[in-house]
Amino acid sequence: MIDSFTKKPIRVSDDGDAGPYIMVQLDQLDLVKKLLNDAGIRHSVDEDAISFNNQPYTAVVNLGHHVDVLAVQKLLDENADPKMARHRRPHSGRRG
Amino acid sequence: MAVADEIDALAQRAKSDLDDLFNFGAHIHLIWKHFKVWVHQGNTLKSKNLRTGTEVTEQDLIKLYARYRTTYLLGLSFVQLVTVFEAFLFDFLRLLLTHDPRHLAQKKQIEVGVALSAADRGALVLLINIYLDKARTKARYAAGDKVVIDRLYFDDCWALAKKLARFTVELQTRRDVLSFSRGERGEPRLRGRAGTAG
Repeated sequence: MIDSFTKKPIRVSDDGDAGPYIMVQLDQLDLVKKLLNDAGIRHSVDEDAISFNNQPYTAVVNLGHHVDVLAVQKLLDENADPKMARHRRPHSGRRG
Repeated sequence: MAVADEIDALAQRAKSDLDDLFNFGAHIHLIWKHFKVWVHQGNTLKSKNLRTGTEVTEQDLIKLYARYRTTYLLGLSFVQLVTVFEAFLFDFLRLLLTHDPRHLAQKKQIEVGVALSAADRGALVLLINIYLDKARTKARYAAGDKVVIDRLYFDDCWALAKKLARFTVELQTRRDVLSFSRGERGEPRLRGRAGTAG
């Protein structure tokens, strides 16, 4: 899945103490939540979405410590946002 | 003396808790100062609550910080500070009563139990003072250096406990005034000295 603002693949970050998380544009939040729900992956969304320097609002989806980060990344990589399909790179592939 | 080691460990724990609390306040303030600099450099921030839809900007947050700092950061830190002192005092008293039970010799167990669980702080201070004064007048140092040193050590500890008790109750009173003024402004209470409160 491609970030609607940065046009880069959405990544699962694993650099926080609170466990892996995904930063996602607000207009893509529902889609990401649906993907995770359909895959049975437990998650929670931060109550506040944040916008820096008048850029679009970004929400944080928390995945918990025991999530399979690679599996979630694969899920994101294999599911394009219909709105962003034309921006998808030909070999977005699996990301470490 | 084993009790001295226990008291040292207790003091170290309390000191560590106090350092932690101090660092918390300093670090939060540092982050806010950095945020102000960041905003001053022309950066902006908007935050939207996804449930309520409430939005705040960086300017709103800067305006709110003065009140947040006074009411919550400093206020709640002060409450935590009192808790650290209370924990230290009561653990200190427990150690002293366990290792130096002279004051328990004359059917004092029930009164000490009351003192340690007293809801009324004025009564608690009064009880502690009575114990300490009686202990001091009754102290008779036996012959032999070790016993004398032990007694002197414990007398010093009890004297410290007495001061700590007064100080802690003073802190508790201020905490209550703070809590009360936060909840119901304009109706002050507990204005008197600590010993007369309650």
